[in-house]
Amino acid sequence: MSVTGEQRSADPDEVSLAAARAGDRRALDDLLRRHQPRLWAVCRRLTGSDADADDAAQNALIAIVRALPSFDGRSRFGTWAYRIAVNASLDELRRRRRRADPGLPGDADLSGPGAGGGGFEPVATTVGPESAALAADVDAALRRLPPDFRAAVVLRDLCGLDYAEIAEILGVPTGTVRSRISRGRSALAPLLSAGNSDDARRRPTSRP
Amino acid sequence: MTSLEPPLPVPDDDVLDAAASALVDGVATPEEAALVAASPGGAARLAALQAVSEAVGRPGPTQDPAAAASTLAAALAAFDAAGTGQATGGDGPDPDQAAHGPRPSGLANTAVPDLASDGDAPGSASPGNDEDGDGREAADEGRGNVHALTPRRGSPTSVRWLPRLGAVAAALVLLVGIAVLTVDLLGKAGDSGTSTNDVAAGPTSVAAAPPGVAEGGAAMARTDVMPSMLLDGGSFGNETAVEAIALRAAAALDNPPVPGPADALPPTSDLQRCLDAVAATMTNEVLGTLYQAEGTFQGVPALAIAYDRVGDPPRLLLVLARSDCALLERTPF
Repeated sequence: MSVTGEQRSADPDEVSLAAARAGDRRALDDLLRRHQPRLWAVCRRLTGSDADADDAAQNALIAIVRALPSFDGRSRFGTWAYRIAVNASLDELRRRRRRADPGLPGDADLSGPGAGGGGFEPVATTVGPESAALAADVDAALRRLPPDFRAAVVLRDLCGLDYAEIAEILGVPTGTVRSRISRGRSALAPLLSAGNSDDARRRPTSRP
Repeated sequence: MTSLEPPLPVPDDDVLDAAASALVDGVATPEEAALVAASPGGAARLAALQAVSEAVGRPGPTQDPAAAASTLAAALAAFDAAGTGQATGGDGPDPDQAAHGPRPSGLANTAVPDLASDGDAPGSASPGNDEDGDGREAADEGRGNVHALTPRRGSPTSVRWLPRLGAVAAALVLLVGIAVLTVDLLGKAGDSGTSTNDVAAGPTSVAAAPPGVAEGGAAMARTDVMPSMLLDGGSFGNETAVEAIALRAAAALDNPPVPGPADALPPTSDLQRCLDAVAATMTNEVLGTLYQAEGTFQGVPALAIAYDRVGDPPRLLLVLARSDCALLERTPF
């Protein structure tokens, strides 16, 4: 469905954005406050740590501010902001890898075959008794995915973006997004099933 | 469903998982749906991937308030540094926090990758590096570019809001700084003394709750933001899948017939009663057009309520039992 300029301008973001671009600091404050929690949530899911998410989110917000004059409004502000947050998170992961943080041994290899959108072999996992709690942790499970797969799954399941938007954010075809989400979920399923099975069984299922 | 354990990862599972994942997202082709239905492990895989989707979609930790304030301050400081800021009020964070706030890694006021620039722009993220080995430098991939997207939503109804946008912005400003906002969809006409007409003037109708309106005596600030329009979706029939109701609501909200004014809703209606019942659970949500429909959900006479909100995904569907307004499903979509 196409959206007219009039319809787009009804978006509260558009109002704040226009004012912010005109130099209204308070409007910018409103705009950023509105998006900051979800942007941080994306950064948190992608980086797997509060501190890295803080750094990534801060970089993202500053990048958003600096890029406001060049934002042409062809995409929704929220989608554009997600794109920047994802980039910031992936950059943060690269920086973390340069630091070789020993506290994050479970991170999937960024240079793995999945990183480029090609083949992806699910990370071998052992969900023993002592690691059941870890397996129940979504962050720990997501950490097992290559970042591009992680981003696709997070943008879909946490942010609720559709495949086209995710494709735009990640710069890949929608078919690649579809594949990454499917294979990412497949890899996550054994990691999360222990922690979620009880909860899942309690939920009414609405599918055949 | 007896188990969420997936079958062994044999190659054929890729096809099955792709189909099941597409079903989870509501984008499966008829062939994919048939494949899942016909496969012995199809239902289990569908349940497993649905569980994964729900687990990832659950809200995770939230940012430490001090770190959040510092992050925001750094961004506003960047705005000020660019020389475009106007002195429009002082309720935002002090930009000095950018330099002195409790940032965990002291990134405030330091060089920041130009994450939003074009790929060949100077200052792009990790210039010259491709340390992830994927052959794609972040900037070169152009992930910071802005391209036209197919919008997920956009309602012709929203054109009617144009005259009210200034007031919307003003209302949003009023919300800043409130620790906890609770949105009451159609007002607490019955228990707060606020009549429906008082709050039905449109999305800009922001009525500060009177003292004592917070339920259970909790000292909670409440602000009521009302829908401007009601969209009657009629009956959704007898449904077992909440996704089907969401699709119906999305279609109606995307291409609405002429909605009626919000104050046309009788305060004694089931919808009003149920909205009152669940309103306290809704936070930080701003409504425009409210979609309502009724029918039977999983054998229970139910009301469906859907609306645009400030959140992601940008819409929320509530399915409530008509008898006692119990929340049967809550699905962002």
